[in-house]
Amino acid sequence: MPSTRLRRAQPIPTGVGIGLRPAHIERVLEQRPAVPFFELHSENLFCAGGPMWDVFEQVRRDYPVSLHGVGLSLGSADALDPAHLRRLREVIARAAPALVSEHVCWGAIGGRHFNDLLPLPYTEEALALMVEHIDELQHTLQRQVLLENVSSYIHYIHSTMPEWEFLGELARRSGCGLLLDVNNVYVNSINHGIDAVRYLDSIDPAAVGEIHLAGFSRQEGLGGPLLIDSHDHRVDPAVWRLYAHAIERVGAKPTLIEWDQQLPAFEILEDEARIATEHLHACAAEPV
Amino acid sequence: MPAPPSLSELQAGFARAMIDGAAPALLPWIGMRGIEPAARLQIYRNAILATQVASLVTSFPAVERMLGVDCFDGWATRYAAWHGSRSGNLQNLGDDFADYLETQAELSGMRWLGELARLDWLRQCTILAADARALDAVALQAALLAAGDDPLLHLLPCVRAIAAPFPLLDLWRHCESPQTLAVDLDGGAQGVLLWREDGQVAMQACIPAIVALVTALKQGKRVSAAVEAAHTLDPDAPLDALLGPLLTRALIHHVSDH
Repeated sequence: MPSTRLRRAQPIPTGVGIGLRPAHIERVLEQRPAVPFFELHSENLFCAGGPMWDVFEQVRRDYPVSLHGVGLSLGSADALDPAHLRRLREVIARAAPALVSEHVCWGAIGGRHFNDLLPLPYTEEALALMVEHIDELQHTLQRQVLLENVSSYIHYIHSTMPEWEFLGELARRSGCGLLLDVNNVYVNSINHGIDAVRYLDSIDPAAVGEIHLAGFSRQEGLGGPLLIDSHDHRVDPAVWRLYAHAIERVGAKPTLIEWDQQLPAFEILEDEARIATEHLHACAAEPV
Repeated sequence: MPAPPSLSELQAGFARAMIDGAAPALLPWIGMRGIEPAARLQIYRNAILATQVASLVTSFPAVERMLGVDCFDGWATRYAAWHGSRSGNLQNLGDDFADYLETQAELSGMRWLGELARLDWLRQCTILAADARALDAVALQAALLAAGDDPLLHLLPCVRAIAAPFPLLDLWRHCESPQTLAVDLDGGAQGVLLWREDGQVAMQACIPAIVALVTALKQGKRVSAAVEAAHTLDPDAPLDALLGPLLTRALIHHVSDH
């Protein structure tokens, strides 16, 4: 049941949090590791009650929490799913997270959901639609949301602007913040031959509310370079370098280590967080 | 070259590629960079099916154990490809997986498979249901006295019930521990009452008449009508036997007169 103790959100500190997955919940609740914040998928709390909410409320008592949605399909040419939006509003009202985020993608059309983060063409039409849907989302939730750039394996040749320009316009026109996934920037730079540094340099520092880091895997034998945003490895050295550049550029921001497949021991995630923390401390732009 | 597709046309084409594996109208609009557009789309198709199958594995553990990992993977993949997902929340995927399995001719020899899948699904519904506090014995007695002769019994949101023409719960437990628990599929009809206890799903075998009673109560019928539904299956079932599990397991949330 909702606890009134949980109403006030603890702010997300400018430290390195960890994406909390079911396999690590027991460890976290028993040992209360020194993690600045945890992030959970919003849809994991779409259930009305039960153990997932029990766990959430225990975590929420001791840690700031951000909720990261994966299923709203903001870029769908269809209207937003009213049931999904309503449930998200209820979850956010009950959970009172410090941050709420979603993705710059689509995932459903004609009532069929693909439960994946599918790429948009970077066109005025897609931009206008995304802005409209973000307006609806922010109005419904009565708060700003952060929108994450996604990795992609497809580039549409009729895109009329680069991805970074699309993101910048999205933030400017809708008032949303950006969740800058540095791994996704790197993955897309390899997959589509774009300049990752130029991408980061074009991002408005003030728009960035959070940074994500994760590991990728390489898909071989397709005739060209392809990285998959698999969240099943340590952060790649090239992504660490890009992260260092990113925080030098946008300043120290709350950063999250994501790992979803072939989940390692929690200590590995803590070690990744330690490395990111060292980068944050070294960030000249805004010392932590 | 024709005009580029609208966003709606592009997404419809992408959807066809995910469902049918082919989208010729979309391919010219996808950059190559050394990799065929069709191969790029196939990466998404594989990922989507893998995600949805993984969700079904989580929701249908007993069915997976009964069929084996590879066989389950095959049926789950066919279901995901045919039925797809109707929600951005994967917890909703699989609501008619039991019906799907029952209509597959190749599985017709496993007459119990659909009910096993339904029990798996009800377990998930139970674990995800809203929290609520049950009436204790004293409060229940007071509420019954206050509510009149033929009250409405409102069960906890987590309570579910299912009946099958074979020992369904025995079969489910056999799937959990095939080495130690035998099952006699000709052992007659069995009901299963499900609820949540200490964050876990609890299950108890019961007579099918209790399932009829619980189903009627959950439909909002009064006690007399619910007992009548139970008696259509088992005219001799005494009232205390029918209501006993609900009382001893403390599954009644509140009592009302309307």
